[in-house]
Amino acid sequence: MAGSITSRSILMNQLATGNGFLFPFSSTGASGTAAATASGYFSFALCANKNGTTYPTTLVGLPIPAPAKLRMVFGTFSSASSGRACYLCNAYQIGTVNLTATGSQLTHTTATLPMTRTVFGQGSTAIPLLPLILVTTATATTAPAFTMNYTNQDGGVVTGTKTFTFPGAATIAGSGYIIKTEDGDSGVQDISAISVVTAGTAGAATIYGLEFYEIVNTAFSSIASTCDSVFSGIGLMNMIPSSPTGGTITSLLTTLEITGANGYSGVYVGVSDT
Amino acid sequence: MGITSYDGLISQFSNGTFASYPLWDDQGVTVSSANGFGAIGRLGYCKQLPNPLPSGVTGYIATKISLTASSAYAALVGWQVNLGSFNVSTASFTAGSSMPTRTELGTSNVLSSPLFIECSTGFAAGGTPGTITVTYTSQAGTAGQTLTQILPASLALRSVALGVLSGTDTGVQSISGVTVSGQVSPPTGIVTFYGMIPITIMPISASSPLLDNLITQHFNPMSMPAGFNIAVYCWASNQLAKGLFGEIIVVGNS
Amino acid sequence: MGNVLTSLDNMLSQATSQGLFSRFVYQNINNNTTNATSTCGYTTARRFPATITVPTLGGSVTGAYLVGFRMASAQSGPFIVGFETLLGSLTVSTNSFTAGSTLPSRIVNGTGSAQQLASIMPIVAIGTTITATSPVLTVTYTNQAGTGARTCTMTLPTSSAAMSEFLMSPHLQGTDTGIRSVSNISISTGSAGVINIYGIIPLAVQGSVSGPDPIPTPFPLIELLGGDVLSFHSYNVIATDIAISNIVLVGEN
Repeated sequence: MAGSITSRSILMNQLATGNGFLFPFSSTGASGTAAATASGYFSFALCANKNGTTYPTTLVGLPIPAPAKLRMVFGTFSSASSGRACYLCNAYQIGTVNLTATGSQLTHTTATLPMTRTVFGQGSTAIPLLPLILVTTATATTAPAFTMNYTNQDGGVVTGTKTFTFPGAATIAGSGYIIKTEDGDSGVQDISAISVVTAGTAGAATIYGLEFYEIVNTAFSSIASTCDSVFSGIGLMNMIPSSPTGGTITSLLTTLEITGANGYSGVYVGVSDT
Repeated sequence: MGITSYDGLISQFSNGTFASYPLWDDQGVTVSSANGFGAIGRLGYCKQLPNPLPSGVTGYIATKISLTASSAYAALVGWQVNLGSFNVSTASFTAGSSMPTRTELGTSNVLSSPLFIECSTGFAAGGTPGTITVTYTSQAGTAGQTLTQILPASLALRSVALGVLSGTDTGVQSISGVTVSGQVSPPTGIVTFYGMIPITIMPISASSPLLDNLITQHFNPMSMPAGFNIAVYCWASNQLAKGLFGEIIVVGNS
Repeated sequence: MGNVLTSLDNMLSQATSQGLFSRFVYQNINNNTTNATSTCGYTTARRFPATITVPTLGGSVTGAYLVGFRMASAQSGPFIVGFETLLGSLTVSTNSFTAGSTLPSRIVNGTGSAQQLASIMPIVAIGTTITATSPVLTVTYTNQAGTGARTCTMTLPTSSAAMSEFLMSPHLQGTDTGIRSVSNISISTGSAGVINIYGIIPLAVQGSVSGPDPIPTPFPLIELLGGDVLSFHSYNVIATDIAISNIVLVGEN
């Protein structure tokens, strides 16, 4: 179905005539335990709306209106720390994990995955997500380890062979990592099982699937960087969340911070599209 | 008709004729550093785009990419072509594809690429894998060119070497054969030969994604048919295990 | 259609209708090159051995412009890609000169009539390693204004290695800034080697291992024709190196 935005001038007219969204925001996260090789190399904080969020257990997503499509056009992001990169992204809650017992410990969302949206003009197409595990209760005594069974980015069913091991026996709450997938896999459509092979005496986590909207690199502390999704890397992503195949799923608009947890402040702008 | 304007790109986004794909890879092993292997690493694939092309789409154009890795590099991103493979223990070559033909500046040309020699099945310990001689057709269409490459013992999975081409050759169009010499009780293992059609060369900052704009920054809106993986090769600062993640956006050409 | 460089839309349209030329280009410097001195260019430089020849232009394409350049190597940058003209060669053992070409006239930045080009980046390139002790090289040339019989005198390092490059611009006569052509090359001593003089029209520069593109570029965009040679250069390093560059050409019609 043809969209309504077919030129730069129409895009600007939409903003001028109220068919868009501008929102100043502030997100918050918390420092986690630094990642290691066995926990996916990268440390993340999934920073949610500052007001109302009790990190990491109660996350309030950044607000967006609800037209059918809202094209991301522009954003400014500022961090209290320098050199922090950030993805504005939707985080879909795939499930929760108990890290205090071995065996299958994933409680899957009641929604049926994959998440779908229009891809290359084809409606209801399964989309790949990046699997992020966010520790909600600190681990204790032993660093838990698990393998993941999942449906990969191509719809293939995979029994994972790579063991994800938390970086510390006491991995603190708020720590976030990307879960290892098999060689050649770049994302997941769904997760069917988390098999805990080494349990701690404490620990719980939530698994989110991430869909990226825009990236910005805040080079200097407290100096805003901008992302222009029209001209400086065209990527007019639809910020309205994708849809599960069935049921409903918790979906949060968040800022994914890498190697830090200060959160961001700034403004994001979107344009309504039909 | 094809995309002939920037507004045309905007329209494709508006009507949903695009996709965003995560790039995530875990090179969970230390790659070998010997005989040219190790200077370059293969660090990730994108989900293979729909094949055949979706209805209404005549090709794929990458418009934006962001990448980071757990160690800093420069990254080569491109559409990957499997030029063939060599089974070390059986000393046998399996032919792959040739670099494709496309219209460039109004003329039909066979593309060419540097040769990425990647260990696709790690070598078992023991034995001497030998030295391979690769016979290829050069970027100029000259057949029968050769290069040699020592295969180190115990070559680790995902170790990559750039083939040292003959004379002033700049690329390979195809591989016609691979022979081996100097083997002693050769181990099991496979090396696969890849060519790459450019998307970009971009810097990678450790743990901080950088953005490359493939229209107004590095103008390269090449429309590719279906059937090609997007792959990332990196100049490696070390051979240790490392991770990569990011995102690439691909627009469907009309 | 109009000039391809007048708008991004024109570039996209040409890319679709005529096809871009885009390649990864492999380079191998398999020997250490030679450091420059203050008598031969000041800045250590080298010319990668593999060049790219602009392919035959077809369809309605009348010229091409370099609109994308990136380079990565195990060594650091900066890197330059340029349109290269062989101005002349010298066989050291016989001190004999072989004439090359004069820089051509070309349309600049897509507008106006063709301009006589002159190189602000003329180079002495060691084609094969020379055997000579501190040789004095004298190049007789026509400068950017068309004045002939000008001379450039440089003292090269002893036995400079193949692929070494020495920048001529600090040693041009008087206030000269560029070279159109070379009429003679001679050397004071030496028993082996080949020296080439190239006039480089720089098209794009990259500051480090990977960096910004030539759009925007500080260099004028010269219309390229089928058969034109593009060469690649790096600076401040003499160690062996493997490099890959990506160049992108868009057609004009």
